[in-house]
Amino acid sequence: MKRIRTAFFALIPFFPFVVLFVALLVAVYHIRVYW
Amino acid sequence: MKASAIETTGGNSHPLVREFIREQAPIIMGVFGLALLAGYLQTGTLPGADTPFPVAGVRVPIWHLLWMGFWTGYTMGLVGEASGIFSLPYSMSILQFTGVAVSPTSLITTFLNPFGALLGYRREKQWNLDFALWLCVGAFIGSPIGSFIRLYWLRDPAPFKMLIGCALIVMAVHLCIQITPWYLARTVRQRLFTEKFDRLKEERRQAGQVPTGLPDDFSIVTVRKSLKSITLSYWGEEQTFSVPLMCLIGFVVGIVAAAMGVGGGFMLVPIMATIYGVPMYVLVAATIPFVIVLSITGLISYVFTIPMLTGVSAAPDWSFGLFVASGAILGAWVASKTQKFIPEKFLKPMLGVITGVVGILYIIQYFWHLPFTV
Repeated sequence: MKRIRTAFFALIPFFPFVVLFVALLVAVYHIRVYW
Repeated sequence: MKASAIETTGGNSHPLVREFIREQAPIIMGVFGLALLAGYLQTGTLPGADTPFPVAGVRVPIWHLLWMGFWTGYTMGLVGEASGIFSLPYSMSILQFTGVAVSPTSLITTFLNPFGALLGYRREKQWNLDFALWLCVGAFIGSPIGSFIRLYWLRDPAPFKMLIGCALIVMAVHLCIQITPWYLARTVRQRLFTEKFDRLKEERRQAGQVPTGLPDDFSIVTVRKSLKSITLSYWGEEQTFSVPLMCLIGFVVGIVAAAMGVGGGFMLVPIMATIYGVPMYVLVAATIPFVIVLSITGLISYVFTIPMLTGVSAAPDWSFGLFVASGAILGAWVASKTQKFIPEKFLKPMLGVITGVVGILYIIQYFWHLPFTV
């Protein structure tokens, strides 16, 4: 549990970049399906 | 180092979990419930991927609106702003919500978005209504004017997108210069405040206490106030603000922000930081009430004042806006808790480049025909 928590906090700095990448994928998905 | 600092606060009764369950979850669930109710009342069924949203006229799954609220609230929260300036172009260019109702709908999000953060700032005593008052007065007068401008001169999506493009470029420039030595020197108060805060954090960490949060004796106190100026004191610093200038700033930002349908933080933060060099920890005492006042007066103007005076309807899409708001509240809260661990040196220029490129495309599209539509 402690290791998981440590890994989680170590990954926090990368979250915004992951979030932006997923946002891009979702936007592309929406364009292909709903436009 | 930082990870181990947080571990000391771990355990089953983590303060962050308690805070989320007691303060954030009820607000998020309440707003989500209101969105479901509004959707049923507006359409008789749940709008989403199959049934278009009644006012927006677009088909989009509810999870996508929640996600849009979350990622815009999160990324903007990390750089100290609200979600509106990101969610508005996304709604127009990706979700194809280009009608005039996009502005009041966006104001629903910008009105509800700061409430989660508001509770935290009040608890941390980052709160001074004397500081916020004159900016709010300016916004109160300016935002109804902005709504009229939107409905009469910016009704067409093309000029409106160009205005959004200009706003995005302003924001892009602000994001990019924030890491330059010039800006850091200009905001010397911010740097001193951060250094002081970091020292306190380290002391707390070594004592095995929670490393986040301001000291118990922190408060923003009004030293003197008159109709000409207001003097505040915070953590050993004293600063004087001109009341007419604050009112003027609130007025101008109120007009522009309400015309677009955003909270106005993207203009207010750089103006206040550049003119006065106010630390972000203190500035939120003014920006949060400012965004709330601006959004609600703008929204009232779109929903009641303008239809009553002119007969022109500009009702928002309540369910669309409330779904986005519930995601944005969660995103803003997650951002406020993780902000200290994110490397701003990379994030701010990256967000600056993204917003800048979109802004340039919006402006180019107004003057020349692009091979694609944004």
